[in-house]
Amino acid sequence: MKMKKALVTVGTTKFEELVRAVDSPAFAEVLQKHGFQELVIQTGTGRYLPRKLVPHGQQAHVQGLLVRHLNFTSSLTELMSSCCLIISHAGSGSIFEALTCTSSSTRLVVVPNPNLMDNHQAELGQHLAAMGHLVCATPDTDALVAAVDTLPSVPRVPFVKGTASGIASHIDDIVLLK
Amino acid sequence: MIGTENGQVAQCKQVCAPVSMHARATAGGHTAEMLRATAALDKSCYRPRIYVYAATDNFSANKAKEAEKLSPSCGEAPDFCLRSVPRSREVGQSYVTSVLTTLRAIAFAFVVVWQERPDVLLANGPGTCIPLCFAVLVFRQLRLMSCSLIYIESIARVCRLSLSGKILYHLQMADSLLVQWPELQKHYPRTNYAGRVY
Repeated sequence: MKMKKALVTVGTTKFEELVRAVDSPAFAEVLQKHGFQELVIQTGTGRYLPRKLVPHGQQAHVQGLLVRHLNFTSSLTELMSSCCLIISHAGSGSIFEALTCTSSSTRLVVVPNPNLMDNHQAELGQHLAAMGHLVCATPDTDALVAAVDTLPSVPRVPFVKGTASGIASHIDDIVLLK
Repeated sequence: MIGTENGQVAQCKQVCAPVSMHARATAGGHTAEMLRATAALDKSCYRPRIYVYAATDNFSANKAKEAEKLSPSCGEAPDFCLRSVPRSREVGQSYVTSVLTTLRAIAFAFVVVWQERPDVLLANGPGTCIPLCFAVLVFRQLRLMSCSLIYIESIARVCRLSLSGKILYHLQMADSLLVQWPELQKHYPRTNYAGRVY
């Protein structure tokens, strides 16, 4: 049987608050409650490692949950598509990757990084949440536990990926016809 | 490298709709968006393609090379090149020191734009692209070149324009300021919406 897997990803930079928020027995517990068997935490360039859940080395069992952490992976897309739950930083690349490489049964929670300039990630996360494609949360253990708890009752609206062809024709209109 | 570039610029003058472009980025997200947009263009019409990247941003430079490899042009010689300019500001740099580094970036931007003389400048991303936009506008004002300026606002912007977007919007300098959400277009009537890159 396929393992029910959850992924926490910070993308190519660092987002220590997010790693710290999921590095908690309460978060592991809510995953187990919903039948998850594995949690993968991708930490990026951040120095904070999830030592509460994984005291030594790269992986540990927290009761029935296998928790692994890694800094980067060359196959993030494959990893994403193998997961039923993705908790991602709110960078546009990661969000749209997660929205387009997973099936509608995969739930997506995005967490804007409030430390970035004028919290610019929040707009996109909240907008896509309002459209029903994902859930937007804060880097806080309680908020993430609540998000995981309510996810099964929120249907995911399928996302139709843009092709940039409209943008290309607009550029053509300006440049080639001038 | 310089020699090759000059050769490609000469070649660009022979095509009927020669267009070179500047894909600008400071962070991975903006590079990826720009490359999605340029990948949708007809390469036989837009050549050579000049990707300008921030000097310390090898990530973006490699992404541009990869994107070109994925959809090679029909001609025998490569019809794109990469050029670097210093950054206006690093992520997290203070606004005060940003003034000095921006002046340096503007000087380099003028050199690059003058050497390449593009027909269109496609810009996106934070403050880093502004020096190139200014260079194009100054040369245009002096009637030294006729280069279109198109700014593509980040897909992350839904309610408000970014700082670069606001500067171009309020000064009414771009031929087109593209936004990627209809909601944002409604807030800023002089912008255009033509779909999203994702």
